[in-house]
Amino acid sequence: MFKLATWLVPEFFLFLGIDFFIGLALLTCLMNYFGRVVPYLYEAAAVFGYINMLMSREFSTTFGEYMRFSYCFLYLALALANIVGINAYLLVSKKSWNAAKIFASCVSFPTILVSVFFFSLYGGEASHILTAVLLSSTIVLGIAIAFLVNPEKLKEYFKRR
Amino acid sequence: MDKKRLDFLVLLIISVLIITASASVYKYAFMEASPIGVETPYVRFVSGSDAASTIGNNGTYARIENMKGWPNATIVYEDALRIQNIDSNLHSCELMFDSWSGDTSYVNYIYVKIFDTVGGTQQNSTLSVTAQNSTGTFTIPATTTYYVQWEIKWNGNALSTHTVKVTLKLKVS
Repeated sequence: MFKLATWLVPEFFLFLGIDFFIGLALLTCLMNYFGRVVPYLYEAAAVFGYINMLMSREFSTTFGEYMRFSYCFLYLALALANIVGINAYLLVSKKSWNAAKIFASCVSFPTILVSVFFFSLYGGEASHILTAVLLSSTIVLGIAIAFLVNPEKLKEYFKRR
Repeated sequence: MDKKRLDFLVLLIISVLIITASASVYKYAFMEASPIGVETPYVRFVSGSDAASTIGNNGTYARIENMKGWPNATIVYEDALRIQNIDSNLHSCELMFDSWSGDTSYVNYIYVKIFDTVGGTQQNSTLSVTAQNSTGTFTIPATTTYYVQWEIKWNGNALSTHTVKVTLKLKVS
């Protein structure tokens, strides 16, 4: 009898983080807002994640699952923080509304959504709370994107009210 | 090629390498993290009434002893062994030929059939030891016992000193 394996090991978050850092490296290389060193720094972060994964595999029996989850999730959180940070940098520092809204809808929003989905899958019993968090964060992000798409019209709308 | 394009190419190559390597490590990590436990077998062998048999631990192994055939005549052991599903769910099984040895050239045929009751309805097809095939998949309902029938026929030149050893395997899913 075959059963669908729905469980995840903590290293999955590490893998997800590596993917996000690699994505960031390629994106920052393509965008004109960043220096030449920035993509290489993100690539180095991805390499660090890979070394982390190797260490985790070697010492999987020594480290408990809680510890493995802690450093794997921390790495993913770091990757997500960088994504949000770049979004904020484009918005605040560079004042590039278009780039910020495209980045938010194509990168920040999907990556956070994917991360929360897998986190809720990993959570198991706590998935109900996490699903609620996922839904509320989706709504918040959706509103934020709406603001970014046309902030002037939204400001006018609120002023009228 | 300008600097930006060169940078992108270098980054892309490094990215592919990192992703491939980390996916490979993750695959191993995932495999190592999966525990393999032990469960009580839900399908087991039980002795039949027509032949003596030795049943191994947990009923996962059975050795039918002292079955005999006649030259130029078929001997049928209707209840040589039983296959029992002790689970509350139905299970699909398939009895397959594994190996045979001894004076195999003197054997006309050895057929193994599965029945729901002794002399009842045959389940799927006949396993022929000489053809080295299987019974095909049959389903044992929950908490049900099926009966394994052996039909043996030696050829006319077979002597009482001739013997064969047949090994079959049962696939349970």
